[in-house]
Amino acid sequence: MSVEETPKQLGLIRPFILTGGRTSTTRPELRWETLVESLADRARLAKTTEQRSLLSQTDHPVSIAELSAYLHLPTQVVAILVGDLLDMGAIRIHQTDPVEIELSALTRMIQRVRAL
Amino acid sequence: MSVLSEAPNRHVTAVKFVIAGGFGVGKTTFVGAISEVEPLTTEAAMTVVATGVDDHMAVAGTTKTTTTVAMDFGRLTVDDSLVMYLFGAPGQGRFTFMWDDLVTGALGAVVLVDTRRIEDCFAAIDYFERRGLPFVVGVNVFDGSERYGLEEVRDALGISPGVPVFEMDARHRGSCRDALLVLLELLVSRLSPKVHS
Repeated sequence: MSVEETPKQLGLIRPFILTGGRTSTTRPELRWETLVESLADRARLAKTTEQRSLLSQTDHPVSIAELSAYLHLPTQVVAILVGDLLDMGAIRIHQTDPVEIELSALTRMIQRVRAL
Repeated sequence: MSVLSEAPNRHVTAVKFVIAGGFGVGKTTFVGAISEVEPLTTEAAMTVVATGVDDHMAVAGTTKTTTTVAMDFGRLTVDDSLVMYLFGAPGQGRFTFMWDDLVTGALGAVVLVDTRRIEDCFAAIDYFERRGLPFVVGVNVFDGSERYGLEEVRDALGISPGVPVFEMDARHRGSCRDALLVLLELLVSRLSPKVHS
C-alpha cells in the first residue's frame, strides 16, 4: 500500500466506528437508491450526532446515496445507520421492487426524459 | 425542496440506472446532462485482501484493508411519486467488487464505449450479461478518434443482436437524453408480450 493512500485509509476508520465495527447492513432492501424519510416527532430518538444529522436530512424522501454524499460517509455506513434508525422506529423507507416497475412508470419516465 | 416534500403517507418509487464506462469516457457528463441537480459524489467502501506488503497489517492479524471508490450520481424527478437515479460506474474489471451493490435493483445500464480503449468496458458488459441486466451500448464519438462501424464495435464486444448499439456524443445533452431513451424503450419492449411472426 502506498504512502499516498494512508490518510484515506485512516479516514475510513471513524465511519466504521460509528457502526460499531459493522461493515455491511443485514438488510438487503437498503440499496443506494432506497428512499429514506424520517417520521414526524422522532428526532428525540436520535442517540448520536450522525443519527441526528441523518434525521435532519430526511424530512422528505432522500436516497441512501444522497445521504452518503451529504454526510460524507460511505454508502455502506449510511445503510447501517438507516437500519438502526428503522429498528428504533424513527424513519420509514419507500421500498421499491424493480420487477414491479410497470409500463405506466416507464412511460412516465420516457415522457420526462423526452422533455429534457 | 421538490414536489417530493408534500403529502406525508405517499409512497415514492425510486429507480436506478447505471452509466458504465472507462475513465474519461463521459460518465459524469452524461449523469450531469440528465440530472436536475449538480452531480453528487458518493463513496463506496471496498474491502480488499492485502497482498502481503503491509507489515502493520500482518501484526494486526488481518489480511484485509479498506479503501473507497468515489462515484458520481444524479437525480431526475419524474413526478411526485417517481424519481430516477443515475450512477456513473467505472467499467474496468478492478471495480467489479462494487457492481453487486450497484446492479442490485437497477433497471438497466448505458455502457459508454471509447473506441480508443474499447477494453475498458469488457468487464462491465460481461457482468451485466451474467446478471441479466438490460443494457444498451453508446459508442462515444471523440474528435480525432478513428470511426468504427457500429457492427465492428458489436463484433469486438461480442454482444448479441438484441442489444442496441448506437453512436453518441456525451458532450451534448440531447445525445445523452436520446441514449437514455433507447434504454427506456428497450425496457418497454421487454415488458410487451412477445409476438411470434
